[in-house]
Amino acid sequence: MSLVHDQSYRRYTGARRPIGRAWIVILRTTLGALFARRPLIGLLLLSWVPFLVRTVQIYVVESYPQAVEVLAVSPRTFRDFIDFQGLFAFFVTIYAGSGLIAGDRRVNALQIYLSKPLLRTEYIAGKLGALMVCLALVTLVPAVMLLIMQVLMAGNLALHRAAPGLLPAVLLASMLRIVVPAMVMVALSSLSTSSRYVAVMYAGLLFVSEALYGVVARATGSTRVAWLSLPRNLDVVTDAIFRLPSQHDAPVVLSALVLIAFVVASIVVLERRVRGVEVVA
Amino acid sequence: MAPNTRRFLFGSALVVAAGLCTGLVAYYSGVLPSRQVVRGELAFIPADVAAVAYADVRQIMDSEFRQRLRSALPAAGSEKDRMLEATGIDIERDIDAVVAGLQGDGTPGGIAILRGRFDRSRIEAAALQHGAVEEQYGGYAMLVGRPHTFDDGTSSHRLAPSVAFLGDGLLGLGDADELRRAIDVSVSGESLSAAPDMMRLIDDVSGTGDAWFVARVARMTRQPGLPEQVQNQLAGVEWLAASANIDRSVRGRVRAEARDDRSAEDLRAVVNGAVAAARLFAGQDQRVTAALNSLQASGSGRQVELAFELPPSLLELLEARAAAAMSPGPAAGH
Amino acid sequence: MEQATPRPGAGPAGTGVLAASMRVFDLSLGRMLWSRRTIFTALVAGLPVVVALVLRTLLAFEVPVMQGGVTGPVVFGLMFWGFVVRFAIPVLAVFYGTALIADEVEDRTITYLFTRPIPRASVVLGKYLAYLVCATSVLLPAVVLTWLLLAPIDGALAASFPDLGVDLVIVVVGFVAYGALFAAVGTIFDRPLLFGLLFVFGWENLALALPGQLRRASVAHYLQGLVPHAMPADTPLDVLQRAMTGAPGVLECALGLGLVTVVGLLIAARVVSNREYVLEH
Repeated sequence: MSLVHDQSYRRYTGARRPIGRAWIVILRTTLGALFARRPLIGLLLLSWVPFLVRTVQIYVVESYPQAVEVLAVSPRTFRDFIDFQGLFAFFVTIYAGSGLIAGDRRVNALQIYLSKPLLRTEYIAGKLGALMVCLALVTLVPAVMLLIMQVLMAGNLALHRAAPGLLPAVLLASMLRIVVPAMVMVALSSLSTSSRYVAVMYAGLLFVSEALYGVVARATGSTRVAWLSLPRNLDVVTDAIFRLPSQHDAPVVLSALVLIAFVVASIVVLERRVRGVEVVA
Repeated sequence: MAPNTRRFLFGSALVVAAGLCTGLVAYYSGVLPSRQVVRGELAFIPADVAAVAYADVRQIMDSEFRQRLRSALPAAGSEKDRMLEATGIDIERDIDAVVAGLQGDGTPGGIAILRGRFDRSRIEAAALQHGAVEEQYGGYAMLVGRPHTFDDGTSSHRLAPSVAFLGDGLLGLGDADELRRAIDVSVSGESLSAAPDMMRLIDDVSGTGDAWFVARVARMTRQPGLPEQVQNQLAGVEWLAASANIDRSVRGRVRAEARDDRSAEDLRAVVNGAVAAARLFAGQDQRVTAALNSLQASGSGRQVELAFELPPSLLELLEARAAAAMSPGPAAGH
Repeated sequence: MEQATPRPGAGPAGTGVLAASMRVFDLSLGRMLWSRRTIFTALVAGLPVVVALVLRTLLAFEVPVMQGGVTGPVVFGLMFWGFVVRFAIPVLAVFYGTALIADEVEDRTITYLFTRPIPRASVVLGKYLAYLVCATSVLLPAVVLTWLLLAPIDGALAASFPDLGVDLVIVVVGFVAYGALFAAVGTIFDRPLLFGLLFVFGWENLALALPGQLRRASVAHYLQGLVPHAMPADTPLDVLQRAMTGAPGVLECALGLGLVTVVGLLIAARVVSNREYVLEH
């Protein structure tokens, strides 16, 4: 004779945490699931290769002053480093982010999550936080580590005295390249139940906007239209943060506004798509 | 297959077919006339020439680029005056188009067939004044000039600069023997139409620009005075074709056909390297950079192609340089 | 007398691979064509048409958008490079190709396909043919429309028509080769999309910019060698690729693309025929 489980309504008997802290649970479980994937670990390790290369550059410059002519370390070095990490950030965003909400929507887990004492914002914050942690590991952390390595190898703060805004610039530029892609990817992830579809949509957004910029820039003979491309907007704003001359004629304010528009649009999408009850017409 | 799927595929195929038909109609109605325009002139060019060149003189003279070039390089006007004085032909007013055939192989001969509106009496007066004599050959009137001995440094040649009236609005210029031969080939049919390889390239470039040029490179490189380095670089090239469209700017395309895939790859490497080097070493001048950015190398198989554009802004640079060169010494230094 | 057990991939006698493939093709085409995937494909394919329409409209109102002597055929060439060769063909091939079998596994419907009395290889082949028809039927009209809109701007349809013919062949050949490659990838790897995107945006870009023969290990080398339009050079990577890339001959391109196609399809058919699919619960 087998046991018959009681399927009727039961009260929640677990401990109730105060509102606003449940996102940590989502963050922890999502990160656990992500770091269980070997390809992601491989990708994260691979993304530290440029850090090693730059560290060698700094070592050579500090050890052999004549190398300054060719390998000078300046704020542009850090700006270029953050720019290069964008390639790894792209793959990490796709691999770690495409299934964040799409996976839950696919197995109808969203309704189950939101039937618990968990706010929608907490759910989104947890998912977003997981992706941001992954992105920080390929952008912010290596960039800050590189700054530390520079200070340790130089044995002085000459670079920081010459460019006092370098540390805030590195932090701000890295955060920009974490927040915008993470918001866009999480929003796209909420639009579909297929992580593959989400990944291709994100790649499409980046590369189609870039191709559009390429065509319009060549036709008009001007780089003022850099605002058409998501990656170029990041470049323009990053150049402004580092106070370096931009390679594009696009107004910084316009590029910043486009990036803000992407973030706002992502919030609107998330607000509409992440709901406990889905009304089917 | 579901009906809506069938409809979608049919619609898609219809769009592609309609586009291709439009292109085909445009291709056959758009390219043939330009070929026919030069057909009359090409009938006088012998099949064994090393190079053929064509220029729509009217279009080029009327172009904005030419107008600006004239103001940038006023010295070019003296050439026009010399031509008028020697032949009685005003380049800017009389000529619509010109087709030239060059002999190559170190032979200085060649003829030019001009199409336009020519004042025969003025041309005859100018020629006779320079000692030319009238002659009839193959039913055409010729003005045969006094022979001159021409020394190119390696050998001397005897040439008699002459003019032939080849029909309504057609005028031949060149050595008397070359003109007689041109009249012969127009009758015997041994003109360019008997050179299918050359005609294939002419068909390709005619209609793509206001001026074009097709050459058998091996014969052109035997010209005396050509640097050995250039001869070596061109050793693997069999054919060279170029065309240019001249309006506000000059948009051109140079196409080389190598002897084999290996030679083509070598040439592509040289061209790509040169383009990349030019970009790297280009100065800060936006106008030069814009011209360099327009350089686009491409091609596959035995073909190597280089597209370029000389924008109007480049003329500004030319004007500035010309002004600097013509200004008095001390002022230029400041 | 012991009866021989048929191999899992073999079909019953009388059901030829080709006939069975055509049945799978017929079944898959409608499903593939009327899916969300086609919406994405249509968006990607439609963008150049929209850009061309906008350019024509602006020029009709005498807005000086085309600067520096850029003509319609030049803009069409740029669009063909930016939108079609470098993005649409590889990405759509990744999108469709990796999903040929993965979708059936993900939806747990592969069991039903394999219970039918047809060789397993015909499932791959039929779906591959459906993908080819689906992708080309969306992209080819878009290329033709873009050409019709752009080529007459300061140019002539007649002069650029031969190049259009080559462009259309490139689209078909590109889908054939990339599709076969990613069909194989989709049958071998558990997460084929990441591999596909890494190949397209990582490996191929790197291989084309490196000296030596590494570029021959990419599909782009053979496909881009056929493109009649000038390769754009907007970024340092583009300039490097253009300097390093010796355009291969037509015969080499045909051989390279043919080899990729045949090997890709053989691997995909073999893996599907021999693999035991255990669906996760």
